Amino acid sequence: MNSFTRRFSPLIPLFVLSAMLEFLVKSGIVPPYILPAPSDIVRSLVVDHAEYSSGFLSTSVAAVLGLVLSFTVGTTLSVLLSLSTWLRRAILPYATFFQTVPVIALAPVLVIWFGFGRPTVVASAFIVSLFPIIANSLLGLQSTDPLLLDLFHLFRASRFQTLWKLQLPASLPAIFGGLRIASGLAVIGAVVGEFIAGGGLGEVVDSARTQQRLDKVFAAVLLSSILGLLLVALIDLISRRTLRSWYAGERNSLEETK
Amino acid sequence: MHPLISIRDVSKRFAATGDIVTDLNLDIPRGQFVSLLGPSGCGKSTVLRLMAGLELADSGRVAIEGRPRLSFVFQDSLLLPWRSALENVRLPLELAGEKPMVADARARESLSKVGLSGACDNLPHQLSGGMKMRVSLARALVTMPEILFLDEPFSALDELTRESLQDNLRQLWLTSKMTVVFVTHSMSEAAFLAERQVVFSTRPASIIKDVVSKLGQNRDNQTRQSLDFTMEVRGLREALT
Repeated sequence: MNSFTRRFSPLIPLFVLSAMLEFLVKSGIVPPYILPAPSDIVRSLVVDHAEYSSGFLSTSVAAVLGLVLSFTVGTTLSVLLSLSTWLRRAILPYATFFQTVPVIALAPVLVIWFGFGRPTVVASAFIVSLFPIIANSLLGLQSTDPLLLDLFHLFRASRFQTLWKLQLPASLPAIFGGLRIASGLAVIGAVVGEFIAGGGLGEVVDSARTQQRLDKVFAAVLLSSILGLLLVALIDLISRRTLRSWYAGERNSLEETK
Repeated sequence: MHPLISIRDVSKRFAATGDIVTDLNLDIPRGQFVSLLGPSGCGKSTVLRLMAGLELADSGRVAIEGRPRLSFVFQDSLLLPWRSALENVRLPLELAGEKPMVADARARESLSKVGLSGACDNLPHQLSGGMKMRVSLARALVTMPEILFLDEPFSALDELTRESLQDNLRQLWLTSKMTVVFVTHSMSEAAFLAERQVVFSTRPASIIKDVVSKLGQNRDNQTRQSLDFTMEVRGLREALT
């Protein structure tokens, strides 16, 4: 497959599907309150662009803040957890519990705690993106090559030196993997928070729904997906930059020389 | 004179594999180059790890006189992939709190001893298997260890690279006063490198032969083709079969 078809082949189903949808709606087979015509979604994106762009910006800020918070808290917590088996046994079940809490059900409570507006939205993004960061970082920290740990033991390295010079750098690929999953989830968390607390693309979706403006609902949903993809792409970029010299993309050359 | 390393009635078992060593006795005097030879999986590596303090004996005593500096070279080069060759070699000094300038200078010196002066800034994935092992050796030597433990370090390398590293290691031993304990399953490697060969049986490991090499101090490719060398290897082969 050449690079042109490889790059553009995902667009073909999109065009086919859009064309079919356009036909179904415009011919009256499917009423517009069930599904919006793609052309209406595009028109709404153009006409209401001011509303969308301020919503997009607001959701971005909240998602990124939530992600930064969960990254900070998550990695710190996993470092602490990696230090003690006892602590892991005591804390990990609660981390898993945290993961299973449906954030949509928790959002009204968050409003009570943090009020309407950004703090609630950030808290919601934080809650859903925390667990994959803890899980991946902890896995990374705990899967350090035991022979390398032996080596550090022979060098009489301190616990902190072993953590800082061996375990943390060795688990960077895993930490980035967690961050990648978390970045998509942070956007979902932010939009869910905005349903209840207001602001951003979440509010656009919610108010368009009550006005039966399905074209606006779909436009806002599309934009939040794009936001998620952009965040994932950003994490990938940072990860490639950081690990370029020794891992990830360079993995093939690593295997070859082995 | 007390031996530097002394193993008395040592036993070790792992739940998964059963008895590894039972009632082992072995003395290694200071400055000796000794090879521990035996079939794969016989427990010779565990004996090495017991000496280095990486495993604790279930019973018996492993004693090392004084508190000598130890270094260990594993079968895998175990380089940190995010550090250049120089930074990898510098690591033990860094961990001991040595000043960066001094650590760098000593790391460079150590790399030149293994013939890798030109590769200081290369990352591990840019190096061949043999070069990685040389970096690993340089890292072990940078602390000027009094005892060097090696666990089948050259077994994954091609023959010519392996012989070149053997020559290198032999030279490094001759020009230092360190004690070297070298684990291998290769009879020719054991015969070529060491002053003394300790041959282990299959598990649980017990010593079936303990001989002093008749080869001279200076050994090279000529040695590998000599009759004396062939006779040494034959002696080891007879013990193992």
